[in-house]
Amino acid sequence: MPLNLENLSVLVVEDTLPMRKIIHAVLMTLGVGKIYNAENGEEGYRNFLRHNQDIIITDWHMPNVNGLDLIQMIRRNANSPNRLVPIIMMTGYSAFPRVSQARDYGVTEFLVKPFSAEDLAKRLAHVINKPRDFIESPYYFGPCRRRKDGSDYRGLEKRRSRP
Amino acid sequence: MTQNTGIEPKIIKASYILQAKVGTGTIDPQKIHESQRVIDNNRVDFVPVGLEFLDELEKILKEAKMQAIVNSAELRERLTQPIMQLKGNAGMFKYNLIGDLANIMLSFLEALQEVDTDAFEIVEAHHKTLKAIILKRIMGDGGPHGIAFRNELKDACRRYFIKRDISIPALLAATT
Repeated sequence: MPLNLENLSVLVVEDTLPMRKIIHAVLMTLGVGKIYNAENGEEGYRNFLRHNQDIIITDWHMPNVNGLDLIQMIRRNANSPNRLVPIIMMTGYSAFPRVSQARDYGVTEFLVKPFSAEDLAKRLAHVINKPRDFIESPYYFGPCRRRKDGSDYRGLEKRRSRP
Repeated sequence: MTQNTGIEPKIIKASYILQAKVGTGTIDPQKIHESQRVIDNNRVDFVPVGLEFLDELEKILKEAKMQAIVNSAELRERLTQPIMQLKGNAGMFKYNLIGDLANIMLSFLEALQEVDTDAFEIVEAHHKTLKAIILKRIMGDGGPHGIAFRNELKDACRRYFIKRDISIPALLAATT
């Protein structure tokens, strides 16, 4: 069954205007009902407070408030309208330490630029079809980072540990 | 050293509110196909955007030469940003050669332990090459010249790592 994206609202936070326009056009063509734009994390958070979008797509490096800071504001601020909102981080970085860093800030999915329409569609479908539990600990708030069945795990209990 | 705090983490069960709104399943393949055409047929002029990232890179190179940035980790991080932006954006706007060369340079910088004189010279030379390509508006993969540019840059990066006995990142290991 195809997803009915008409009922979906997405916030795009991206400082490079042509890239923001292209993401907007792709989302529109995919059938997303409401698309909001912001050019940095500060504006993005204000927009999120006002409209409480269903999914957020954010760039990493932006002036004033960058993508990582925006994630922290969404996940940690008391006035955040939805601390569990799915966040897709879209960036040119692909090295593992960067992906890991974004994950530790509470990102839901990671999308490497340049991207194809299929790449973006897959991430959108994934956050809708496979929502994840959230973990709240003194040192982390975000989607569960264990994607595999860890019943036989014998290592350090990281969720209870100070980083 | 990681310390066990003994505090039990709280698990918040996944929210299915989006599924209630839009259902479950896949996105219509026809719409994905049309969206790809939107990307492929975009008429954005990448040159002003690309030059902005290159100007930022040039500024950082100049600051480093004037000893305004002395911390090697900070220098590496600052050099990485405009190069990552070029890598991420160029390919979306038909400047694939720029995107590929920036990707090679990004892999190089991400694997560096410190930005020494040799590494700095490689980045500086790379900046000049990218600027020339953008100013000449060389779109697409650059043909045979593009292959030569890619291999020259990979060779320079590989020589750097071999000389220092550092393992070579996968992207730089193979010739195009």
